[in-house]
Amino acid sequence: MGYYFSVLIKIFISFIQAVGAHLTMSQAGIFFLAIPVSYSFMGYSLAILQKKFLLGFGLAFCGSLALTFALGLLLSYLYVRVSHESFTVLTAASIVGFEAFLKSFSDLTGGVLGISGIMRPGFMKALPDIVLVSGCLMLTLVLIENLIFKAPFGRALRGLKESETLLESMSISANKIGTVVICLASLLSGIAGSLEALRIQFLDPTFGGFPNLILIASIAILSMKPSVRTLVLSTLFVVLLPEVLRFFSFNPSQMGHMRMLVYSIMLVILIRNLSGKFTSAQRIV
Amino acid sequence: MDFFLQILVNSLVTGTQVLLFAVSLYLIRSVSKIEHVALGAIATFVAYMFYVVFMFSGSFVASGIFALGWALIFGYISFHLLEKFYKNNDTLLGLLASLSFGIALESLIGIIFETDAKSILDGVLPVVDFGLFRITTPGLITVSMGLVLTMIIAFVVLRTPYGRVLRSITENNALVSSLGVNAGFVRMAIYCMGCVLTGFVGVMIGLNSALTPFMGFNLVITGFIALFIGGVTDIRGVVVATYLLSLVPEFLINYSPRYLDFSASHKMFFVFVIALVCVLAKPNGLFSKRIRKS
Amino acid sequence: MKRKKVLGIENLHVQLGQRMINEDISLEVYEGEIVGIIGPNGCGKTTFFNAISGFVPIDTGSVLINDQEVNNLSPNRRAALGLNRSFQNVGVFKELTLEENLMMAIENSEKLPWNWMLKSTTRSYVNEKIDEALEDVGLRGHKKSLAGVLSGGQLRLLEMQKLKLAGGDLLLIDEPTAGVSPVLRNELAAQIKGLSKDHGRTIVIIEHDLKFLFSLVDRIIVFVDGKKYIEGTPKEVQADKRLQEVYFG
Repeated sequence: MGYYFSVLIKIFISFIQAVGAHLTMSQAGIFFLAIPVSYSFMGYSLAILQKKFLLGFGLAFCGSLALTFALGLLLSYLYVRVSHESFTVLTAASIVGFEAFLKSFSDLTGGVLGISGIMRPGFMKALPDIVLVSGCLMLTLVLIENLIFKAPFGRALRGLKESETLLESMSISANKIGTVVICLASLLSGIAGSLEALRIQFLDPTFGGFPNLILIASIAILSMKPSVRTLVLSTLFVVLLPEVLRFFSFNPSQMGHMRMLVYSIMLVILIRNLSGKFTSAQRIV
Repeated sequence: MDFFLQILVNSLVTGTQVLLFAVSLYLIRSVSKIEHVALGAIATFVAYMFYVVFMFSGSFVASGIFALGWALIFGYISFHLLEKFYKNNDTLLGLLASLSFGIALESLIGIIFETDAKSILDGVLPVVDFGLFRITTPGLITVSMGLVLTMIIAFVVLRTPYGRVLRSITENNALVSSLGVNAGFVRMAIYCMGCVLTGFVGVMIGLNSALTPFMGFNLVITGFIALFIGGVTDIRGVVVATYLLSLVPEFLINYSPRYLDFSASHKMFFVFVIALVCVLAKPNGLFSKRIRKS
Repeated sequence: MKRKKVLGIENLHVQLGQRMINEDISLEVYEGEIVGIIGPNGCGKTTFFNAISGFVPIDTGSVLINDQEVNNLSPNRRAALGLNRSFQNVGVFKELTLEENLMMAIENSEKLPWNWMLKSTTRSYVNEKIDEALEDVGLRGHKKSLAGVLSGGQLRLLEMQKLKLAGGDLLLIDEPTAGVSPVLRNELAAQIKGLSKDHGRTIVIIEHDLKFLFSLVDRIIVFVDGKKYIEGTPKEVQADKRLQEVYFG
C-alpha cells in the first residue's frame, strides 16, 4: 500500500508544481527554468528552520513560504531587468548555482550529506495524511487554475506570450503580469518541494535539479492549451510512464538513469511533435 | 609568484576547455538561434568512444578517428533534431530539446559505463616543466590548439565571406538561399564542427584527468553562460567572458582568506554570481554600447 | 469656444542608433479632430507614434496627453491615460478568440473587477457589447474562433472594434489600409469616421493611401526626412509642389 500512496503523492505534488510551470512556460511564454530552485529552496528552508532554528512546523512553514516568495520576487526582478533569453539562461544557471551553494555552505545546509530526520507535523504523520493534504491542495488548484483561465489575468498571460507590445498598449503592464506569475510559480513549486521533503524526510543537494526540471517541463509542454483537464492528464501520463520500468528487473543502481533516459527521450519526442502546433486552426499568412 | 602562475595556467586549461564549448555554442547559435547545450553530453560520449577503442587498440590514431566519426554522427543527429525548431522559430523549445537530449545521452553513458571514473592514460601524466610552472601535455595541447582554433574561427566569422554567410543565415534564410548558398548544408556543417570541437575537448579532459558521465555538464553550462554575458553575437565578448568565468572563481577559491573556507564546490556558485552581476550591469553583452529598444 | 488640446508635441527629437529619426517636431491635436500624417517611407512616422505611445525613448522634447507630460511614463501608463493605438502588423492577439480580444478591451476601459464573469449582470452586459461590436463588422459568426483564422481585412475591422471598446480620448491608427481590399477600405473609413463622430475620439492616422486619407481628415501633416514639412487642410497640402515631387517624383 505504501508504494501506491507514494505514487499518488508524487502525482499530486507534480501537479502542484506543474501548475506554476503551466502558467509561466505554456501560457505566458516565460521560460522560467528556476522552478527546481524554488522546489529545493523551500524544502531546505523548512528543514533548516525546523532543525537548526528549532521553530515549530507552523512558523517554519510560514517562514519558508515568505522566503520562497522573496526568492520569487528576486527572480521576477531579473525578468523585468534583462532580456528574455538572458532570463532563461540565468534561471537555468541558477539550478547549478544553487546546487553548488547547497554543497558549499555545509554549516547551514549539511553540504553533500544534506539534512536528514525532517519532522512531519502532527496532521501529516503517516503517508495517507500526506495523500489527503496534497490531494486537497491539488483539487483547490484545479479550481483556481480554471478560474484563472476565465479571468482577465489568464487572458493577459496569453496576450503576454504573443505580444508584450500589444499588451502594454492596452494599459496592461507586462512586467506586472510577469512578476505575479513568476512569484506564483515560485510559491507553488516551493510548496510542492516542502511536501516532498516531508514525505521523504531527507534532503540533499540533488533534490530538485535538472531531473525535476525535465519532469515538470514535460508536463507543462504536453499541456500547452489553457485547459486544466489536459494538465491533469499530462501529469498522470508523465508521472506514471516511468513506473512501467518497475516491471522490468533492472539493476537498482541503473534505475535512476533509466528513469531519466525515459523522461528525456519522451520530452524530446513530445516537443518535436508539438513544435509549431501550439495554436489550432490558424490561417497561414 | 610560482603559485600564482600555476593557478593561472591551470585556470587557462579549464578556461580554454570552456572556451571551445562557448565557441561551438556561438557558432551553432549563429546559424540556428538555438543554444545546443547537449554539446556537453556529446563531448562526454565522444570521449568515452575514444576510451573504448584506446582500451582495445592502444592507438591514439585509431581512437581519434573513431571518436571523430562519432562526433560527426552527433553533428548530423543534432542538425536533424533541432532543424524543426529553427524552421518553426521555436528556439527556446529547441533549447529544452537540446537539454533533454543531453540528459538522455548522459543517462545512457551512466547505464553503459556506470558512474565510476575511468582513466584513459594509466600512471602519471606526462608533464612539461617551464620552470616557474608545470602543465600536463594534454593541458598544453588543449590551450595551444584551443587558442589557435578560436583565433581562426574568429577571423573567419568576422572577416571572411563565409563568416558573413554564417551571420546572415539566421537573419533571413530565404534570402541567403536566393544568393546560391545551401543554408541547410551550412547549418549541418556548423553542427558537425561544433560537435568535433567539443569532442576534442572531451577527449582532452579524458586524457588530462578522468572520464565520468557528467563531466561535460558544468563546462557546457559555463560556456552557455559565457555566451550570454559576452554577447551572443560578439565572439570577442564570448572569449573574454569565458576566461572571466574560469579565472575569477579559481583565484577566489585559492586566494580567499582561510576563515572563508572556499573550496572547489563553491566554483559554480561564483560562476552564477559573476554571471548575475555581468548581466545586470551589461544586459546586452560585455562590449555592447547602450542601445535603444525600438 | 476654446477647444481642448488632447495631444501636444513640443520640439520632439528621437534618435535610434546613430540616426536622428524625428527632428524638432512640434504639433497640436485638438478634441474631436481627425489628423492625418503622410510622408515617404522611412521618414519617421511610425517612430513618431512609438515615441508618443512610449515604445521608443525620446531624446529631447515632450509629449503631452491632455496637458499632462508623459515622457517618463511607461506604455501601459500612457494607455491608462486614454491613449490607444493600432499597429502596422495588426494589433490583435491571434491566439485569443475574437470574443477574448474584445473582452480585454472592455475590461480595461470599464475597469471591470477580476471576478466580473461570476456576476450574471456584468456577463450579460459584456456579451451584449461584444455581440454588438462583432455584428457591426459582420464577424459575429467567428465570435468563438481564434483571431488567427481571420483574413487581413477582417483583422483590421476587429482591431477597429477593439479600439472602439477600449475607450480613451486619443487614438493613433497606423496604416489601417495596408493589405486591405478596396471594398473593405470603405468600411474601415466608415468605422474611423464613426469613432470620431459617434464616440468623440480624437484620431491621428498614418496612411499612404492619399485618397482614403483626404476623405477622412480635417488636417494633414507631412513628414519629410524626420521633420515636419508642412501642415494644412487636404486642399492646401495637395497643392504643395514639393509634396508632389516627394510622392510622385
